[in-house]
Amino acid sequence: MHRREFLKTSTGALALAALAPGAFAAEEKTPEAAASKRAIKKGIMWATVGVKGSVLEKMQAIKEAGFEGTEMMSHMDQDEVLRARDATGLTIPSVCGRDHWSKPLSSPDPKVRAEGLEALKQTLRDGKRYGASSVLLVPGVVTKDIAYDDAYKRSQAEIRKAIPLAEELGVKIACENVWNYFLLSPLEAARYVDEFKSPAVGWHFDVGNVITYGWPEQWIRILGPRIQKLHIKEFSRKKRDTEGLWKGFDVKLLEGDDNWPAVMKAVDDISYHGWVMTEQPGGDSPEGLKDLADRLGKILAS
Amino acid sequence: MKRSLKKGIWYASSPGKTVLEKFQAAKAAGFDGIEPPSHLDQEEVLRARHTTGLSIPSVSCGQHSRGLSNPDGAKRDEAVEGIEQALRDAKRYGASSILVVPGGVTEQVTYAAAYQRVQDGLRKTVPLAEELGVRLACENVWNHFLLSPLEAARFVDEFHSPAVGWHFDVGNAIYLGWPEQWIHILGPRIQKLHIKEFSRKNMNEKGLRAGFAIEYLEGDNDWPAVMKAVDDIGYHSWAIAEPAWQPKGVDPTARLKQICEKMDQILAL
Repeated sequence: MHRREFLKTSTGALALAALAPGAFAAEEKTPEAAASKRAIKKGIMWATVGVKGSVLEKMQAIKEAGFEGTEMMSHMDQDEVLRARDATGLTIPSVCGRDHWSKPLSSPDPKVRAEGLEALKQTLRDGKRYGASSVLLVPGVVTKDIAYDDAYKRSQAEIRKAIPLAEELGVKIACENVWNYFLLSPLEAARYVDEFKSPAVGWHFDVGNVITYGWPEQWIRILGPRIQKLHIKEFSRKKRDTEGLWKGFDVKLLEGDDNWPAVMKAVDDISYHGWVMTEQPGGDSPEGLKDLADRLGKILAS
Repeated sequence: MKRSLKKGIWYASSPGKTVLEKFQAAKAAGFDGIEPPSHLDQEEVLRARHTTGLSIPSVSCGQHSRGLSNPDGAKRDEAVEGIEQALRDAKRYGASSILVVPGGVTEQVTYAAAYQRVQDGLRKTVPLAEELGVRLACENVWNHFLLSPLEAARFVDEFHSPAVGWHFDVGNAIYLGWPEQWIHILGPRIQKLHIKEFSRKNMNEKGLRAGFAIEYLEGDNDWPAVMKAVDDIGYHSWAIAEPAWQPKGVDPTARLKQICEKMDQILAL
């Protein structure tokens, strides 16, 4: 499908759903999920699963803990992942890029940017293969040597190059707010996405990552339908203020400063019915995974 | 001299009880100017200025302007009136800009609401600022708002008036990024500079706000890079010290002299 044609036909959610090939399929709802108050499914980020074993064994542990899906890393053995997925019945709603920190799209080196772009494209192909509706992208990194305005321009230029593939595959590029000193304002993040003028670019919102800057429920309302996926992470302002900035993350779900009822209300307000995935320490044992799934369940019920 | 920057000090950092005492302390320490708050007795300030020969390059409206994002319309009106008074003070004192805190985001005041309200409120003050020839300089403070230098520049530009600019605080920007990048991006929008130190090490090991507890030149400001950025944008106005930390047990008068010496070192980098 030509890009222009795609844009013309995909101006609204209805148009999107009506498209066949290349369309971004709406999340399928199980009767069970549809019947619950919130049609939100529970997942866990693969990189946070610390139990030992093969891909299959890890997926089995994830399944047994009570998760319905997992966010894979890119650049894995696709066939092995698919076998494990099918054996366990887990869903793979999202794929996280492997190289966006080490080969950022904001790099001053065109070669590094090209490698980062290729990694993003591979992540999109992985996503397509696994049935994921979006991929997680750290859009760029600001450092002492990579200025904010340069990061903005360069990362947009590279992401634009991946949009045709994303549109063709029907897999969205979802930029995540991480601690990369970039896109620090929710209004700017929304603008950054909108400037692509493509439904293939959205947001992967990480709740815990914004607490030191502001309030996640505000981000959720501002980003609204741009949000493709949610990362569930805790953060403690108290620990940040008394033990050190990064210690803010050293807290269990429901024991920090996320106002989960307010977050979930915002999620309802924007009619989000995709996946929530934990990105949290503690998943290095079956008990730890179970604890994460239980806490996630409590958050969803709050 | 390579740089034609002048040294100022934030009023509250100068010891003394009366306006005159504070001006005298600043003068004695070696500063060229002082940044007083708005809403002082104008005559008293002018007398102190005349007596000491200090300049008043900026008037701080920090306290009054914070209400610009308040959900209560009456409070926002008070903020507008406060800013207008600060503009009149500045005109009287010969200051070229006033420091405005552009409201703030809180759990109750959303980012989007703050953006709208602060712009609406400031817009009401632009005609007076233009008439008096005094600029409104928004400062980056820890108010959870205007966290991106690109957004800050856009925020200023949306007024389409030369009367709106920026009061850039070097130390306040470090937890968000690199001040030299902010300076390059904000460029000619910058009316004044606040000189403040910050330590990422303290922030990471002791707590976020502990980052401020550090002596000038011993934190994570890359002062040569900051000063190069200042040169690059052709800035030749005031550098005003706003120390966020005091060493224990040092006489305030001696401390002010120390700060002035640190400023000399920084401005020479």
